[in-house]
Amino acid sequence: MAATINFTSPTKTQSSRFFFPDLLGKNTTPTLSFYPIPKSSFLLPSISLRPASKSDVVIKRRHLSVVVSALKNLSHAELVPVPSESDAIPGTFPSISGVYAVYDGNEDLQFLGISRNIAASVVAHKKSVPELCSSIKFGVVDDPDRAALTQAWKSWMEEHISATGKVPPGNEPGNSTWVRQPPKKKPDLKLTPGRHVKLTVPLEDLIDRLVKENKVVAFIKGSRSAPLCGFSQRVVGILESEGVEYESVDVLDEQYNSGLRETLKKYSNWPTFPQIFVNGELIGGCDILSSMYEKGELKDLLKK
Amino acid sequence: MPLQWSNKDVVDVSGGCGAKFTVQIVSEQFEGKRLLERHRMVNAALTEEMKEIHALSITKALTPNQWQQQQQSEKSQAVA
Repeated sequence: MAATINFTSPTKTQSSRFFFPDLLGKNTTPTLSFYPIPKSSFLLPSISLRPASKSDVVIKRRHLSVVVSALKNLSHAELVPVPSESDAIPGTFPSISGVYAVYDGNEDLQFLGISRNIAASVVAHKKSVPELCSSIKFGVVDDPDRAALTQAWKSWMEEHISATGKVPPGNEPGNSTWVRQPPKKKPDLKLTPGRHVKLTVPLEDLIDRLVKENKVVAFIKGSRSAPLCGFSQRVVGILESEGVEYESVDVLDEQYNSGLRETLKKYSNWPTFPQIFVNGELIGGCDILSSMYEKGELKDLLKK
Repeated sequence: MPLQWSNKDVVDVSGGCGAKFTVQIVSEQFEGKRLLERHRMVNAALTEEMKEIHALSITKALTPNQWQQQQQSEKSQAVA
């Protein structure tokens, strides 16, 4: 079965003045804005490439019920101390999938997690937050299906909440102690709420405010996660390899940064993009940034 | 004042269409100027040409002193 995903076909609104006219208007995903704007969300339907056959479903269901009935309650599971040597952890805990509960030295539940490899997860937690990892309760869920794992996790979570009235601190929203977040690219900044909204302040002022309120700002073609020109890509690469916090603005975003290219060229008196500002001052484009980076001058500049 | 240079190296990297160049340029007038200002000077000197050029990459904008230093270091590397 072939699955096709259709992106909305980009409409050509510009003549071929720019490098990538075909890609104009494609980047509408950034969500950070100076103005509250309705979030545009794109829901990609999950596509199953393998139609589930009837026998499949039956097997899974039977399996699931077996597993869940085998899973002990949280209160009945044995509390196992975490060995101080991390080498000993795989011998103490199973290296298979299941639900686990992490307790601190006071035997207070800190975190409820699911894992494909309980021992490996315990090793990772012990390494990142040793002070909160005194002992573990675990329940093996020997089922490759994530739904079974989630169900086991839910049953322990519900049991804990009904017993204590609280969510474990590590599972509270916003707590990132336990779950390693994938490195997320910051969204690109948008200058305006949209091209059809009349601005109350001139675009120059918005640019001015933006570059002065942020230490490092890169005006690039395309988004930072998918730059649309080689020079912009190089700039993003250099800034990321310097490990510097920076904001990015997509000058090709006609929806939210309409008119930015012309206005910015005048504002900075610089004819091309990308443009990099540090402390409100134009540093230059890709050539200058590259040259400074190669000479090691960029690091000093970014420290200031 | 028009930009005077003592050494320049312009390479056509357009692959034939003649609208994309890299430039290395050495000028006394760069003395005491930041890279950004040096690039501005080159861009200003090329205002007319820039209308025809699609992309210009200024890979080096050096003062004669810097140029000499660089030549020397390249030479010593070549010898070594």
